[in-house]
Formats: sequence, C-alpha cells, structure tokens
Amino acid sequence: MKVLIALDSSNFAQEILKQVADRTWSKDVEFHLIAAVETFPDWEAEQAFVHQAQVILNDRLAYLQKRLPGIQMNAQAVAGEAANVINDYAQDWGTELIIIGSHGSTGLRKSGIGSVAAKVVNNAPCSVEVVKINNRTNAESSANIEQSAVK
Amino acid sequence: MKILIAIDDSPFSFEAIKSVSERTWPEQTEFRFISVVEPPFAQYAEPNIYVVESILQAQQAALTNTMQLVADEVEKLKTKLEREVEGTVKEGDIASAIVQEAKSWQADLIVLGSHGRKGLSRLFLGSVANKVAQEAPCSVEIVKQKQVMDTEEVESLHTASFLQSRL
Repeated sequence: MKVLIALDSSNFAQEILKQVADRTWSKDVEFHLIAAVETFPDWEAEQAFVHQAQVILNDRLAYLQKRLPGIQMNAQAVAGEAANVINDYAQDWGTELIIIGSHGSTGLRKSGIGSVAAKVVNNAPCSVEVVKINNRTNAESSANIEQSAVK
Repeated sequence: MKILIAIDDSPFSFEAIKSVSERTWPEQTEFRFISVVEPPFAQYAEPNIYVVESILQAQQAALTNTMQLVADEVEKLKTKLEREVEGTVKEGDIASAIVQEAKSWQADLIVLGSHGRKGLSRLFLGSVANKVAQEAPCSVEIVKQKQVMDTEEVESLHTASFLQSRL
C-alpha cells in the first residue's frame, strides 16, 4: 500500500507523524513524505528554500523510521502550489492514500479544514485522510510534553 | 482506536468498507458502522393527508432496509477482521448525525465514501463528505473509488472546464 504523507513546516507535522506511527501498518506499506515549498521568481532562492525544507523533512523521516522500523519510506521537498504538488505526486506515484493535516501553519482555525486540505480532498486521485488536531489530542500532546519534562 | 464507518447502499460506501477491511489495525481497534436515514417530509414542501401514509410506510421500509444493511456489514467485517464491530442506524441530517455519533462515541477516525447515494459525479466531493470533514471532532478519511474514468466523464469534465474558462 502506497501512503503519501503531506507535511508542512508547522508543529502540526510532528503530531501527524505521531498519529501515523501509533497505528499498525502491514509490512508491505510504503510511505513517502512530501513537503511543498512556495515558488519564488528567483531560482536560487527557491532551491535554497527547497533544500531547507528537505533538511526538516529528513528529520521527520528519521523520526518515522525510528518509530516504524523495517518499513520502506522516503522524503521529498518539492517547489510548487501545495495542493497541486501533493495531488500531482499522488497521481504519478500511484498513491492509494494521502494523509494530510486539516490545517497548515498559515491557516486560521476558524473553519473545520483549511484550504489546502480541502483542495487536496476535492482533486485527489485517491483516498484522503484529513487528520484533525482537536482539543483532545492537543491536551494529550501537551500532557506528553509535561510528562517528558518531568522525566 | 475507534473507527466510525459511515455507510449507505452506494458503491462509494462499499469502497470505504473495502479499504477498512483490507488494512491492518492496532490490536484494540473497535469499529462501528453508522448509517443515517433522512427524516421523511424533508423533501416535501407541503405534505398532505393523501401522501402521508405512503411516506411513513416508505420511511419505515427505508429504516428496515438500512438496519439490514448495517447488520450485514457488521457481520462481514467481524468475520474478516476478527474484531469488535458494532452498528447503529440514526434518523436525521446525514452529516450532522455522523458528526454527533463521532463526538458521543469519541471516535478517532471517521471513514466514509466520497459520495453517497445522491452523488452525481465522483469528480467533485459530495456535500455529506464535505460537511463531515469540516465539522468532525476527529480525523476523517474520505475514500475515493479507484479512478477509472470513462469517455463520458472525461467529456463532461472538459465541458465543465470549458464552461469555467468562459466565466
């Protein structure tokens, strides 16, 4: 099963990966992490941003690898409009499931899901799981942080 | 982990069930099917005495059919996954009832098809899936049918984008 995990630079990304890692996956699952980077008129600047995103993404990949050993995965930062990047990648790779956060770093939390998630769901070639970080999980994760601080 | 699977009798729902049954889930995962029947009279502006009886009969039949559908799927999934599986049938607005159930049962994930029975096209997200994604207290997985676009759909897509470009 091919699972594409769409991440951005927010702390939200870590929460999504935690939820993914907490689940049980069959041995034949394959994860690709993807992060979209805004395009810039200046190619060199754009490459610098892509590189920076790739470094962050590699960190997150390392976390997931540690949590889910033996599962095939890789990470790729791509320049472009987020929803298009994600859906195009999903199409090209033959993705079966996209996992995406309900909001990114820029979203106002007014609506239930952000514009990128909504666009991905609408145009995706495959199933999409919109991960919500609700008050319950927020409380849980802050409790976890407190716990680790105590340790 | 608690998984709420929202279904009706559409092929999109069967796709959603299939995607759940083919995956590996943590040991203690619980599953619950929910199917919602819309209340009668919603689609009638002025119900009159002559149609009331037949509407109520039709509603009763719809509820009976839906309960049967849910019971069947519960049994099938139980056999397939060997896990705890429950089923519930609700009456009311479809999206609201699903969200309400997710809240009261404290579901971790809602799984549903991208369209229900009323869906016209798989190219645009159905209103129920959309509303559930917006209002759900937990994660939502919207299951899409594997894309096998026939010529007719491609043509209608072209027409749609043509119309859009004209606007």
